[in-house]
Amino acid sequence: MNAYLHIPFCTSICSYCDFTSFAGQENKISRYVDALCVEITSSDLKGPLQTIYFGGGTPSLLPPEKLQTILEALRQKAGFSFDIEISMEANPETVDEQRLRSYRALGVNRLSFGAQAFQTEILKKMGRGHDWTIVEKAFNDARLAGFTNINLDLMFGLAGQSLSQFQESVQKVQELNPEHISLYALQVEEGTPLAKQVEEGLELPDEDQVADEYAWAQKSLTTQGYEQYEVSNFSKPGFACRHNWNIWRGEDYWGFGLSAVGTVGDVRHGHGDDLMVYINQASQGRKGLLEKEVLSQSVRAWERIMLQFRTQEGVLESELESYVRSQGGSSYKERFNRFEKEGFISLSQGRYRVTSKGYFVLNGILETLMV
Amino acid sequence: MSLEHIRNFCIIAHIDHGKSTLADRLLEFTGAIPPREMRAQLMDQMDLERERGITIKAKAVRFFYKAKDGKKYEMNLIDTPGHVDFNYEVSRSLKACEGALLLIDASQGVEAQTLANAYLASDQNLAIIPVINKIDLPSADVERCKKQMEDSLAIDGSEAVLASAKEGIGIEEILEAVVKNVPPPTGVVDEPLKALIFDSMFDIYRGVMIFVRVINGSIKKGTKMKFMVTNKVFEVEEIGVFKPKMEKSDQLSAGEVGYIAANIKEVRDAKVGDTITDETNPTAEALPGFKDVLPMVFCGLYPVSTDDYAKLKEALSKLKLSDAALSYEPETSLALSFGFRCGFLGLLHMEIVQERLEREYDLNLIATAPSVIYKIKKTNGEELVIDNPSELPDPTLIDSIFEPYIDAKIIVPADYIGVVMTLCQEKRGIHKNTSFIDTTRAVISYELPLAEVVMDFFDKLKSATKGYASLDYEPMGYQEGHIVKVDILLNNEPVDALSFMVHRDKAENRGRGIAEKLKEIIPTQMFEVPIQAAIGGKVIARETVRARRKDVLAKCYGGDISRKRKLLDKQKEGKKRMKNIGSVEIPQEAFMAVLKVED
Repeated sequence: MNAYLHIPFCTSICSYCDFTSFAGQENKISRYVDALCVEITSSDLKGPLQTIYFGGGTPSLLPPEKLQTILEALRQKAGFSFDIEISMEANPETVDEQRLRSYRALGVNRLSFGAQAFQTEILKKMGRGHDWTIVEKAFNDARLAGFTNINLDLMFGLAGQSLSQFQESVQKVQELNPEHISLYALQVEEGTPLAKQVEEGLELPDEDQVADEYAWAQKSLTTQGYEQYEVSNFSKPGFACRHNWNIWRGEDYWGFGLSAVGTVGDVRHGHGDDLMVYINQASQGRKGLLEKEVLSQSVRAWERIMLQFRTQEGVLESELESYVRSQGGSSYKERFNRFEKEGFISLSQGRYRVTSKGYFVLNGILETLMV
Repeated sequence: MSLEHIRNFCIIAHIDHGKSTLADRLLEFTGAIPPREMRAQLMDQMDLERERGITIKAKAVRFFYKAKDGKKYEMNLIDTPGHVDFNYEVSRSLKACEGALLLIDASQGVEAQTLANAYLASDQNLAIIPVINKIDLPSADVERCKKQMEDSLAIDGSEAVLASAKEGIGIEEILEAVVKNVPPPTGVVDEPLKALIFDSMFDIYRGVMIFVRVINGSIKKGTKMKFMVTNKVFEVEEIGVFKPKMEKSDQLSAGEVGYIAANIKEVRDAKVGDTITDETNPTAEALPGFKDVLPMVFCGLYPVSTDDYAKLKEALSKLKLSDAALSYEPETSLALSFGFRCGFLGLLHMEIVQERLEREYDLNLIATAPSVIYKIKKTNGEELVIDNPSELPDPTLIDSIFEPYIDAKIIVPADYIGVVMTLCQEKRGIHKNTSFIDTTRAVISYELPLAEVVMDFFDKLKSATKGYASLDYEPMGYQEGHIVKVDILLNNEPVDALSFMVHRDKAENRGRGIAEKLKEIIPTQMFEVPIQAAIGGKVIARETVRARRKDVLAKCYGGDISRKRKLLDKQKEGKKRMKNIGSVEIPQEAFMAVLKVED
């Protein structure tokens, strides 16, 4: 079993972010953690847990003792597998060596820092609260604290960022030599400050530049010994994020906390995004807390295909066949042959995999499978 | 009522000169309808007509008028369509009258359809009563109108009634002029029945209702009427008049106008212009002037969703019941699969039919570029008539191709003579004559290939003259032309629905224009898509749609899966509205792009 925990607090909100999070509400962290623990305890979660992922928001705003409370609740409820992966997202400006040591001591064994870009002016525009020296310090502190599995997030397609500035960012990340690098193309999400800026005329790099950046990074990272195991994720061998892998494979996962989503069996559950409503309801152990969506067999099959194609694991040809047939679908074969010829996908040992070239146009590949 | 006290008349006018409003006022003034029950512009029945300000189907309305001479007159007002596409229908409606009100907008003056209709009316020897309408407008120029009438129509301007239908000015004067100047009908009640079908409409309860003008004899319920052209016989079930509400009556006699219902299933059984007689006591000769209305403009209509084929078929068959001029037959396109080749009287008719199909039958349609009828002479002497580029024989088998021409009259302010002539020249027109209506406006006559007119001539004429030009045309036979078929290839496969016929001199330009337009319209695909225009095997233009470079969702984590799945669904849904041809996704606009290309 896998568990995702959402920590919806930030010191400030980044312009592009559409995750549920609140700035200036840190005084509610304590009550939130209490509510979260009640939710965990009164849930149907069954262990042992293979992975735990603290996402946000900014989970590194959690004081170590609060983290301890949550982990204790999880351990008591479900138990931990001996090789459990406990991941935590962190913003570089929120941590120091001591705090990181505490996290490590509590069992956190994977850290994910939001680095995003090297250039201070670009970070500022995005609403980030750090510059590169802070990233370097946080990274080095994490090493000192004993972390041997660290991810750095980078973004591309950013406003005002040239190809060479992006390349510089990638090089700077490589210099730190993290085990894992996530590389996200900027997406303008509805309702974010960024969406408003774009509407008001903020210019973003065009499709060509974004594609050039992606291609350059793919090449640069793979020559440095990273494997692209998912559309946006690169890791040194053996350092893929197990939590995400498990979910992409279609394993069950629980979501706890505000706005968190989980999928257990054929039920997907979610939470609302009102902080006080959550705190009040969760702390009473209310069953009505969860929003549930029953996934039909065909939706589950499709999601598995959609997710697996995002990863290097790929999809069994037979699984694809039976899905398309179950949809009364047309022949995807002809298109897939063409994709193969063009080098977008490969077929070996009965599995279709998207190639590094194919990742660029994955939506188009998936669409051919949709009826 | 004795013939002495009957007046059959119509109103003829250029579009928007106030015909429908005047009809309303006449009915209101004579008490045919109480003012507050008045639905504005009652004679236009269909919503579509109302919206477009045009009248498609003529109707006859009877009302009574007590004239200043103290006598009561039966007035039959016959409404006529005002657009060139319906010229023949207009001429039949005129044939049912003895007089016509020639309505001219005081600020617009004489326009192309004013002229065309006035000529038609005088050809039929109708008494013409000129009416200058909208005199209340600040921009009204009555003197100018009078002068134009005298110069271009040889009508004495001093005879014109000055009116404002909107304000109710001059209505009584118009009625008096009708009584005084329009002769009563002539005809002999004792002779065998002879009546003219001047219009028809389809009623879901009664079937086809025909509008007739009885010339001789009389007709009543039970009469076994015979249509002399179609040779069909029907028993009259109901007879009556519109006042303007439908009212049954016992009979219609020589000189009168009314409607007949006879359980006729299809309008094509009761053709406009046909002569009705009594099967048991037939008249010797049919009325002259009957013409079968033949479609002049054709296009393919295809449902966007192939599932809607049956629905489209049913809709067309229903429309056809009430629209004799519409023709259709099944057609198959490799690109668009199953649809229909439809024939129309003209561009407006085509637009109206498409709009009715989409609006009244809730269909989503793709229309291919309009085509005209070409006559082909093959090298072996065989002759062919085609209305679809795909029917064109192999070029090596063609000796010559003939295309239809029209005789166009364009009225335009003198300042625009130059631009209109340039436009007509571009459209391969042959200049016939330019004359002046008055010092400021000219009538320019051109012979133009119809194929050029159906492309975008109206739009161009309008924009070149800031909307001041008015156009009227009539067909004038065929002339030989150097016509070729241009194919459009996407991804090296010809897309039949994009093929078109064009004069050789224009083939390169139009081919290039279309290729460029398609490049703009076709979204980037997974692969590069070559676009080519070709005559036979010879490529005359080439463009390329670049391959899409990046189309992937950056993130898809546990919390995101539902949303991302739906996002993909939405993206896919958007593409469903496109046609997938030769593994290229083509938006619907692409099929219309062929129309919107500059030469």
